[in-house]
Amino acid sequence: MIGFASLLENKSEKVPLWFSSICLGALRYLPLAHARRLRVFLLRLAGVKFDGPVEIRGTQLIGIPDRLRIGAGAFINAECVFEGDGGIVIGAGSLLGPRVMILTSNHRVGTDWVDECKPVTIGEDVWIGAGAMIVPGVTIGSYAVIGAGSVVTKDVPVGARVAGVPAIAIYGKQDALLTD
Amino acid sequence: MNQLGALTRRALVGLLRFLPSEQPQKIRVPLLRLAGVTFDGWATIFGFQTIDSPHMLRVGKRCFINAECWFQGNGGIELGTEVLVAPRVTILTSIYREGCHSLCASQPVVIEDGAWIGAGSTIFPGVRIGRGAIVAAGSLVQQDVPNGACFGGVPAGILHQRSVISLSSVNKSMV
Repeated sequence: MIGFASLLENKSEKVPLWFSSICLGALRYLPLAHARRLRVFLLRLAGVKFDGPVEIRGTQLIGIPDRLRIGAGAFINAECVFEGDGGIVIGAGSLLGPRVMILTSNHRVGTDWVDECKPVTIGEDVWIGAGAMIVPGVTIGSYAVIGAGSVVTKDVPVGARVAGVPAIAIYGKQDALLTD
Repeated sequence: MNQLGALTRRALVGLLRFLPSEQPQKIRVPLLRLAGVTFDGWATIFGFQTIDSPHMLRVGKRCFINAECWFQGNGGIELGTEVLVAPRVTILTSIYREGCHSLCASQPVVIEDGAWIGAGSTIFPGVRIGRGAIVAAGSLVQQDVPNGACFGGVPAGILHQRSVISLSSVNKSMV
């Protein structure tokens, strides 16, 4: 949440939507694993905040790029979805597999479908398996491992390993040997 | 409009992949209409949709369809009024049967008014999703969802039943 607060401080809506749409659209014409610098440059133009060098592959679908912050040394594989309305912070050194979805906006169930946005915070050195989905408001602790295809509906403690739909702990927590 | 050949329809839907995700709604919706999708009113549709047989897809008033959905519409897909579809939802209508090497049967999918389909879920052929129902993110819906029920999981089962469903005031603000 600290990360999110700092994100809000220097958050600015100064990148117009049409401009960020064009920048993100241009990613679709780049090769999957090359043109790393150009891809990061385009994402930065679109409004994504980077804390250091990162590796990003393929195309990404990013809702509001202004509200996405990616830590140094993160690796993001192709075709992820970042629905950024509520703000997403990805910690340093985290690995995201292909087709990971991070959602931040929800609808309030009741008489109307008012949007409720909650931030998603991902700690450092987290590994998220291919196709996993993180629902709004979830905080993932550092060194956690999320199994492929799982749907994470609750906060994940530091160093935990979770998998399944909905994701539950599958291994002992705080397994320091495997997290380093 | 419906006399357009299948190839032309596919080409039109393919053209939409060159538009950015959110923006020009005023281009995307008319192009989809030209490709054969039936719109009952204004709907908001985000980019990168995969639509087989667009002429079999019907979208109700004030629907909202997020990006990268897959409508495999051979058997017909009907979205009611004010249906919300999250990103990467897959709606299937064709069935393979043993001993049959092509798509040999299809069953329509009906999503009724005010339903909300969560991100990444998959709807199987022949499923009817009731009024005001909610499908949780990442679920695999193989059976009909009753009105107002909240379904989730793989395969999807009932999580809880909403007692009050008032659809009259649903989403007036969203155009």
